[in-house]
Amino acid sequence: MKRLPRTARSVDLLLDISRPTSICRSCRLRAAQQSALSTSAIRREGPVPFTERIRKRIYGTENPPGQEDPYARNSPLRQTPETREELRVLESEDDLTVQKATPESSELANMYEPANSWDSLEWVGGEDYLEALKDDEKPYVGFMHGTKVQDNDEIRAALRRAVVEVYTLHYAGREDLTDVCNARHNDDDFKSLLDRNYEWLALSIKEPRIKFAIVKRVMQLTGIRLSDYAIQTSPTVEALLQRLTTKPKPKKLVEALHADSRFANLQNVKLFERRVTPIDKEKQVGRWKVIEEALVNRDLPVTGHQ
Amino acid sequence: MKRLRLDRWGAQFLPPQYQVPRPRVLCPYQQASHDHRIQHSTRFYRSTPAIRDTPDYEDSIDLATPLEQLPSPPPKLASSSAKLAALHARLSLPSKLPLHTLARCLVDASADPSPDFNNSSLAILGSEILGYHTSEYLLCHYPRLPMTVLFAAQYAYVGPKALRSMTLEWGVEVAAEPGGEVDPGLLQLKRLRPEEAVIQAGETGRPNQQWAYRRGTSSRIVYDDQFGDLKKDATTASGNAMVVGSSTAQGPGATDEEASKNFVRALVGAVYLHAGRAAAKRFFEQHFLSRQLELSKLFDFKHAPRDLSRLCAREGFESPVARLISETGRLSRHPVFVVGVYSGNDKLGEGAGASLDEARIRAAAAALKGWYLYSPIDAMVPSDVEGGDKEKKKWEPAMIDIGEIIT
Repeated sequence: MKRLPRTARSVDLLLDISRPTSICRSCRLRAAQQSALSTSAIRREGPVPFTERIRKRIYGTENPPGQEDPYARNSPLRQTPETREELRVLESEDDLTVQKATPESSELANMYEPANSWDSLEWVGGEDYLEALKDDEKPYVGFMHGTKVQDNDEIRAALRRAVVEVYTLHYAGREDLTDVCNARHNDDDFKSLLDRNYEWLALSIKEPRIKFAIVKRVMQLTGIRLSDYAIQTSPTVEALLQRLTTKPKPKKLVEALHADSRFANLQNVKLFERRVTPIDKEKQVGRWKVIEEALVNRDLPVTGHQ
Repeated sequence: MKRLRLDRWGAQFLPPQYQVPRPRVLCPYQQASHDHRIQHSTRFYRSTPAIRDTPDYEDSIDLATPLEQLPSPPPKLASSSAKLAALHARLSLPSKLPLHTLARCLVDASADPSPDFNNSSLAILGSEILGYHTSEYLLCHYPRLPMTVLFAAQYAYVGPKALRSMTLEWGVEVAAEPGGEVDPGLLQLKRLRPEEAVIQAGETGRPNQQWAYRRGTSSRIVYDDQFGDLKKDATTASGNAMVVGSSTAQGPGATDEEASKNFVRALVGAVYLHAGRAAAKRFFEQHFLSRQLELSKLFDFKHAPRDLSRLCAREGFESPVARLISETGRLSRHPVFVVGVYSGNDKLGEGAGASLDEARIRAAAAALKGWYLYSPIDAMVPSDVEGGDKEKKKWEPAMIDIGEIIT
């Protein structure tokens, strides 16, 4: 009776003796004993598969015509000539590794000595490990500016520099405008570009090549990331500058409301700096001083608990 | 005769730089509980009115003085009150009327005894304007109204109860307790405490008032107020002369009705002073005359048939005769008789009643009402031709009746 196929178990890994492993032989033998759970012995099919034997019997010869096994994973029916060649090379390599590994594994198994303490073991992880990994001679430098540029003048200068550089390459007839990013920035000539002439702000950057190069360069110089939406909705340099230099966000809602001119003209709207508490409401109708006096007369706490 | 320039009298309601500075009295409520602060919290305004470049005359108040110690909100807070601006817009007040004056109209004399900050003077002016416009309307449009009905109609149009209900309709809320920290858009008054009796011991202006003589209609015209009622407090009615001198003295509190009455009157006075006579009259027509009053329900005849026969005799008509027009169910439990009162061939009135006598009296009352409620077509009032409209309209003398029947 053919043995029922069994799902793979974790202990099966130990059974594969041909694989090079660091587990000792006694453990593997014990695992092999425990894995022999089946009532029927494993029936080895031998080198010739079952379908092949059937075919041989049907044809009555040792070499039956036709394909060898149409259902096999490596069946020639499933392979193009190229993959067939690759598969052949891979199989030969597999044979090589197997041939190499076998003596190596036995050698390693003979050299194995179990450790009694962790002192001599290699230590992986931790801050010291990370320090040791660092390459001081060639430190990592990111593409973008390390910190976000906050100063609006500096951002404008960076944008102007990016526009000048990209248009210079563009008029010079260079194909790849993003070459401007190869020049690392230094802040000295950065600020000197700032002047009071704002005509360059009206430049159109509708051409995708130029816009992409300018945006890439200015993101590199300033460290400010722009969303796709911000880039798409910026037809001119000025619009891009507005996206880059955002107004300072008001800290409180009332500051934003005070800045809104619609409320400034409404006399019947009053803005409060803070939450209108029940005490404020009582004060507005004049009742709080009465409440306060009554509480004080009774030796009760005016606010909170006693 | 030299014309009175009422608008010049209102100089104190003009922007503050034209005002004579006056000391501000602190709220006695706070004086009781914060005596230790009082000696340095009383501040006087500048002694000279010549400085006109600084419009904010509240600057002279010590900034350390808590608002709670003031009896009423400082005028500078009026411009920042949302309630006040909303009320100004809701009443469609003329833009010439500043919010400061509107805020002052809302401060009753019981809250702030100082006449420089309360509405008492404005209320006196407004009371006169309201009384004038109401009485000229009633007299010109219903020239034959009996005097008692005239008093009742005046009371119904501009009496305290009417003004109180108007205040409620305008959405004016009353502050719980007056003080400087209160929103200027609230009506401020010191309420009459439950244990306080309403003091009626004031001077009524009547001679021999200690004898409690019967008040006839003629004496009510002469001595009493515009509604024919006794003047409750002569000192209050004559311009708060007593309150001015003793500014720290707290009189008795006021009721909501009194404070509302003073507020509406003061508002009319303020409109008159700031926007002029025409605006005040328009305000009166829009807010007071627009209220419907059924004058025919104000009558109460004691002897209607006799009054009618006297009337016919006076006017030279044939003496009235009651005739049965129709009847139904005379022998049933609910008979109805319809009786007409005839003077010769003219039917003066008609009434229905459960008995012949009742129907006859009702018919006589209807005839009297028809006489008294006569209203001329296109009646004019004197204020129509006052001021700049002299060229547009020509005064047509109003009809004057010889008066009611006195039996």
